Amino acid sequence: MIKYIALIALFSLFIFCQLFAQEAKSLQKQKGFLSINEIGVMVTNESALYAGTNAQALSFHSFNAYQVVPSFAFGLGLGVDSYPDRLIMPLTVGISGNILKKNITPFYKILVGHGYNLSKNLSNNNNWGGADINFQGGLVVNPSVGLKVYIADSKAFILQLGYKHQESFIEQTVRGGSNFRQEVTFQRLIFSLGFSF
Amino acid sequence: MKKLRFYFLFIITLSLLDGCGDKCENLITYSIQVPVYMSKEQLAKAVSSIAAKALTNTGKIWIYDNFLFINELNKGIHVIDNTNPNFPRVVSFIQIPANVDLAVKGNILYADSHTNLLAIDISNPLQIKIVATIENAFPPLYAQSDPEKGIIVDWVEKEITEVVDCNQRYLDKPSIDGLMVRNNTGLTAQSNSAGKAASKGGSMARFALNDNYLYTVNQSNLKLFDVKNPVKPIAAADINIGWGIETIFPYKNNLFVGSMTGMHIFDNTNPSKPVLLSTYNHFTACDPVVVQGDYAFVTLRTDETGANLCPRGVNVLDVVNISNLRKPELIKSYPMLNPHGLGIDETNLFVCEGKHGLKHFDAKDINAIDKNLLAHLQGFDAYDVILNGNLLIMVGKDGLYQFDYSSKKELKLLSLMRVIKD
Repeated sequence: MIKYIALIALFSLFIFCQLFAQEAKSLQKQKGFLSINEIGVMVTNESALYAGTNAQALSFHSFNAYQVVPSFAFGLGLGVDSYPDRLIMPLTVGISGNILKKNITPFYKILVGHGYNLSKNLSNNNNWGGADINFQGGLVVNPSVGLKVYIADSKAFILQLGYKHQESFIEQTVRGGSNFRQEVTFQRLIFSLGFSF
Repeated sequence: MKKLRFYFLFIITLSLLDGCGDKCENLITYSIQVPVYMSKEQLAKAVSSIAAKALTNTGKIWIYDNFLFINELNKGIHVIDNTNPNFPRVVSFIQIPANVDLAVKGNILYADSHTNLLAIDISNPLQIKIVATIENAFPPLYAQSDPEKGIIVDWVEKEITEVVDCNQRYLDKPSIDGLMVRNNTGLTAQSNSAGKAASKGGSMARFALNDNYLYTVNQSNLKLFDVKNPVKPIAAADINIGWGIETIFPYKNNLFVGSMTGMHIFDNTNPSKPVLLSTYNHFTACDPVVVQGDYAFVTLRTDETGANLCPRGVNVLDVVNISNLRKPELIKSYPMLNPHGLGIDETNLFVCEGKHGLKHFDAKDINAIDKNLLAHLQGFDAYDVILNGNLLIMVGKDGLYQFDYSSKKELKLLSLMRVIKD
């Protein structure tokens, strides 16, 4: 279901661009510092990890880059992803750029890096003697496309549809012997709103 | 060109959407003990001497003359030249599968191997020779068996990794530890005065020797072997003495047998027919015993290994008056940490406290032993001791320690032979 909603949103976005893109003075920045800040929901329609519970997550992200030309910028990304049972901070490198030179334009963004665990590791005592739980992050890959609507010089609202591949691990050592390792790969769609300048 | 860019983006996005959905895999890794099987033929052929090797999992100890014999649980026996306790030297290793207990008389080593009693000529420790085998002398060491695979002679640790349902969340699952069900009928050794050369075992032993008989205890029986002719042991009396038998300590004309529920005292005036005189009962606990003069010293401990053998939470040293052997009486009970083997020499009383180290007491005043703690050495594991002259020989999970206790002021460490884990 979510996939179909995403497809409709994506298709509408392209149509919107084609229909309403106006020939006017471009408000796009030509060169220099670029910052894209966004808040989004990360959704999935099936989760082997959170089966039967709410699996959705929130994402806050900031991409700060040097724009070489409107269609290409490179820089660093930093954010916080809040999954139901863990917090992950993705630290990435990436590129971004506008597709059109108009004031309403599609854009792309591709980020690759490492998601660091921010969850507090646990040391629990229970009936079985207790266990130490260690949350770990892992590889993150985050391509996305969206629409920028320029409202002033270099300033634009953004609507964005992305995909995030985030690896995460839990290591649990039970006092007394056995080890538990959970290997999770989050594969989420992200619907985001944000601001670019 | 612009339209091409749109389509490119569209296709890329579509392909990514196909990968949606969290993936999860739970891996549980745990160790279990798996049995090592051997056929009877392999068991017999496996007994041999090989070059010296490091201590890894030490068990019972025995001294004979200037030699130390240390059991490597289920593997065999280390032969150590201890002529100079400052520099003990491992001479050889005698491979004996499923071996737990031992005793030495002259040049003959008596050792159990699964259900068999072996008499081994060790006059040349590098070239030993089995001189006699008494089959089915003891109950099987381990309860489980698969007749098609042979005899269980040992257990080894094996690491298992399982992939389980991801809905099985962390912290929901108990530790899966290996299960090793051991039939606690293994034979262990204990010593006695025998011949001119010092020949004795530790207090945890289940074998005891006098000039003519080898005394062994298993979980329920006191079993004798006639060793008048050392190279031809003959099975003799087999006396049922109840459940939970653990150790045997010979003293003068008596045998003191430690069980999980009490201490049995036997009159051994006739060495071929020990007669039960009395039983001193105590809480259910693991307990070795040593005797000196009119007093028996019994340590009672709670098992801390997880095997749940002695779960009553008792950790004490009991001093029992045995001046009347038919009516032993508790004099005093002293709290301890987790007492294992012990030894007494005159007024020097040593108690192995397991992972809590070794305690040295002055036992001159039987009623105030706790007030006369001379030393408490910590930082190592202490399992059992043998006292020989002023030499204290102690084994534990960390290795073989030897101390000089000629001065009450200080235990002087002479040497340490460390255990090296596999």
